[in-house]
Amino acid sequence: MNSNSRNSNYILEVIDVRKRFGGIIALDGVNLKVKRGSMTALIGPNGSGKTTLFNVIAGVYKPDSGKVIFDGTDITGWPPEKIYHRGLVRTFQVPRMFKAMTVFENVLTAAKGNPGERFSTSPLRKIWKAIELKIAEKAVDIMELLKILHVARNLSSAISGGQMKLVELARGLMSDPIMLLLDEPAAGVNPTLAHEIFGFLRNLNKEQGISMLIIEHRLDILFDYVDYVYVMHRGKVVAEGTPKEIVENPVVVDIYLGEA
Amino acid sequence: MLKKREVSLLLMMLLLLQSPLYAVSINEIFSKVVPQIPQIFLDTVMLGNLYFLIAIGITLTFTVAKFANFAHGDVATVGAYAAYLLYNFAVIGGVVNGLAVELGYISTIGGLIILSIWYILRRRGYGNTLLALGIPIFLTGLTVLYGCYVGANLVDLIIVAATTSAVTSLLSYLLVYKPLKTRNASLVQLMVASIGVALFIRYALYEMTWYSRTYFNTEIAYQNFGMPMTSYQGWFINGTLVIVNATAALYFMNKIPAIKIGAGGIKLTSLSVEEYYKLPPQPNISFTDLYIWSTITVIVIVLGLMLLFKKTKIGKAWRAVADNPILAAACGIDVESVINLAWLVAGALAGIGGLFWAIRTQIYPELGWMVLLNAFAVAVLGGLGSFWGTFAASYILAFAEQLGVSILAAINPQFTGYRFLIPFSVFLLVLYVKPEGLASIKKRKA
Amino acid sequence: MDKVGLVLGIIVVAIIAVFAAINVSYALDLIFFIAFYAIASLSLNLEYGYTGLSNFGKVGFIAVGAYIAGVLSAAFNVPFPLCVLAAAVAAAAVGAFVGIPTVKLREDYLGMATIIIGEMIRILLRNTPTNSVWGGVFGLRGIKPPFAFIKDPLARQFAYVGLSVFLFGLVYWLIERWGNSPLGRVLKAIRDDELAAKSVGKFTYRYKLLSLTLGSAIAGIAGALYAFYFLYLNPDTFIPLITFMIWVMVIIGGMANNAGVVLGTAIVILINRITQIAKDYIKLPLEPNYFQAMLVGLLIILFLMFRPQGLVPEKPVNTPSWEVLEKAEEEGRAKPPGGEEQ
Repeated sequence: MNSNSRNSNYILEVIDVRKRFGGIIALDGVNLKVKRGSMTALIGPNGSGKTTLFNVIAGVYKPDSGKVIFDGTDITGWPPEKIYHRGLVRTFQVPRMFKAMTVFENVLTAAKGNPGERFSTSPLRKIWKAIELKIAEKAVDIMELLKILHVARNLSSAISGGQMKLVELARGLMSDPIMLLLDEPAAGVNPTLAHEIFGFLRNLNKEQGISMLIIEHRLDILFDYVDYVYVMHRGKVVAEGTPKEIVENPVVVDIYLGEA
Repeated sequence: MLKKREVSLLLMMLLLLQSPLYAVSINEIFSKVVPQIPQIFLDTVMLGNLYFLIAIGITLTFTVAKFANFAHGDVATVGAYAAYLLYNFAVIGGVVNGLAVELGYISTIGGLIILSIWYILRRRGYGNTLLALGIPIFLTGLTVLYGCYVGANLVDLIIVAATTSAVTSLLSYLLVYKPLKTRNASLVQLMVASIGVALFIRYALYEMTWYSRTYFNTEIAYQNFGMPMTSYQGWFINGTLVIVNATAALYFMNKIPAIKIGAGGIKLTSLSVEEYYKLPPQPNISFTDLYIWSTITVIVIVLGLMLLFKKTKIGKAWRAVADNPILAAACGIDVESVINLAWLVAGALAGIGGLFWAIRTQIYPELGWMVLLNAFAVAVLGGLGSFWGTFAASYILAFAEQLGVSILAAINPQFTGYRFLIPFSVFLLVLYVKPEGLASIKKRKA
Repeated sequence: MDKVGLVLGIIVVAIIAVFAAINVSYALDLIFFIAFYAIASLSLNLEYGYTGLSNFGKVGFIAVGAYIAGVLSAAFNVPFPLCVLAAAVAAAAVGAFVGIPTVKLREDYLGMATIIIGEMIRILLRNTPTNSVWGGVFGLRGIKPPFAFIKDPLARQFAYVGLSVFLFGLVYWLIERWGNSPLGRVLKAIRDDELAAKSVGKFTYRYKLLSLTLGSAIAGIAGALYAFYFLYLNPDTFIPLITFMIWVMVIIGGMANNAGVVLGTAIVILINRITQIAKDYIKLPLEPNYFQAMLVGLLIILFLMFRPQGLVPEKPVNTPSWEVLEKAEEEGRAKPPGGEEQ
């Protein structure tokens, strides 16, 4: 499994992925590469297929054709849970909370390798108590870092939308991911907090070397932080480059003006 | 993929392994079943019709409400009981039943009141629910009155079964499922609620039978519907199919109506009694009025639904709502009205189906429930939510059941008690081999 | 347990105590019924309350357990503990058989499949040859009582009811332990949002299948207890209404709350018993059995609409992890940021 050397330059490669729903072509041959350790953005107008692409990469949908290669492993058609264990973690555009559970439990649930999660061992506390405590420490640390520790005891359905986004991120970080797929991590959050979130993501990226692919609409904020940008339109990648190149790219300007 | 195939093979082997256990030679079964094939096909059409009428309602509500309605069978029972009571008790001993007349008037006037409220509120842009509720209530009243004063015929019964079931179905949506949906109930909760509705309706009907037994000394559970049926018998003679009105043969001395279908075309004739008794004692096929009525009804309904879906604005709106209700609402479609209509139509078809089931077997409060489980098998085989899938599945399952019963009877007549297991086994087999049902086959071709 | 639960619990215990003071045998019978139904409703709580699975064929799994235990005892003189074990295994096998194709599909499929399996089992049992040990519509007879060596009938009943209560305690302990462990969190996560649970790496298919299988096994144990209590089984006692009685118990009590579910079970059974007694004194123009079933339907709807969390709402999963959070809070790490949120 560990074939990092085979493709050390790119952590994620999406090769000619196609997906259609009935008569609608959602992805029309998408090609995209994310450099190892980079923070890459994926932008485009609504309905351009960004979220569908995320769902294909994360295993929610199977592509009709094409390949997804993650960290040297072909993960095309893998189920989401297997992809998670491989080290690729995603968040959702509309946060999906375990809504009858508290924030703290939400974050704890995402931990990997807890022996208390088996039917056979869970009745015997002795077996899993030590690891559970470790996981709890880690959850508390992450939540403190993300500034959601004060809502830890709240029901996850009873917190603000911005906090839900952070809970999702915290869940993702519990597994020490190699790469994060973030679907609008700062949607519905005021600009100050959005800057804070992106600053935090950048730190994570720098310090822990977590690669990221981010969907975001607020380009003004986004472009201050990312290394590379892909632009999607009608199920295709129509432009790519550094944020600076993208801003000056007439195709991109056209798409965004045409949308408005 | 391999796993699935292995499992299905295993099941097949299990089924095959069973056959030698009965120690009956395949040939013997064959020789008993083969002569019955024309009859099996005929019964398949009729049983398929009845399955279709119930299952299509599950499919229709599924398209807009997206959950399996467990109360559907009991909605059908309500219609069947309404028709049964109208047919048997609207006129008792030549005297018009006062209670029935009262109910008829209440329902007519109630319907009119609801419609007039709708008329007043109409301009403010709401109250379509009242329209959907008012029309069937009004119609129920009129048909009940018609049944009381003129006499209930089959069309009358079909209308009354359809309208009462439609009202029940719509009310169950308005009073239970809709409020639950606005409270963000989960799919499982909606299903459980529909079971609650099912229990309530079923045991209310049980209560009604008890009431009738205790206070009117009239048994209305496990009764035959009491509708006189004409039965027909057919023989294959020298390549010609002769169908004889067998009921007439019991009453008429001469001139028994008959139809000859052969190479020379279709000819209406009549047979004399001598000719009739010259026919072999066992007819090749036999059927009743119900076969004809149910087939005509299904044809009318299929054509009607086709027109509705393909030609009208409502049909387009329906499909839009089925695809994506939020988008449909954004496009200015009156989603509520479409959903109301879906529940009405599903209920009406269930009522008609329930009526035919009651005529075919007996009327009892659990009738719809027993049918519902078969209808679920049909709906799943059809691919849950697919119209033509459901249509095809109805007849496939009916055929499996009829053929299976013939085979079981050939092995040992006692085994026919297992006939209920046939659709259920098909259902489980579908889940193991092809859970997407028939609809997926069509899609793959397209 | 919170206030509502506590008050209702005390009332339930008081009523049982009153029954015990009047007629010991009747009270024992009542306690057996509560224990039997509580095991069944706890198993449904594992499936529905924790995992969100819609098992509408619970009665079928109980019937499998009852008949397997009954046949083994009546025809083969198998001792009681082995019968119970066999009942659990057989019911689990049926559960797995239904679960394998259905739990990966939408919830509807499992609902329809289980309800159909439940009816299939009843029809199969009805159609078994009447001259065999299964008994067909005449029912299964000849189950050997486990405490036959006790001569006094009341003492024998007492012993058996005690054993049932003990088994109930075991099941309660087990499900409570499952629920208050990391496993409980995973199951609840699957119930709340299966896709999100998958996205945090939970193999949901396996969990759902295991939950259904183990839930069925527990239902099988309940069935075996039933068989050895009545020593006679009839296929027509295993009607779908029983399943929905069990559903009402779980919905009234509160899903994913075992104490609540047991309370809900006791309440439903007591209401049942009290109406049975009351019908001899109060004449209503209604058939009480049918009316009760209507009430079951109505209660399902009303609770789902107005109190979906049940009488005793569910509680956070209790594991040692909360101590860690408490310590962090004491250290003052849980300060809200700058007051701009909320």
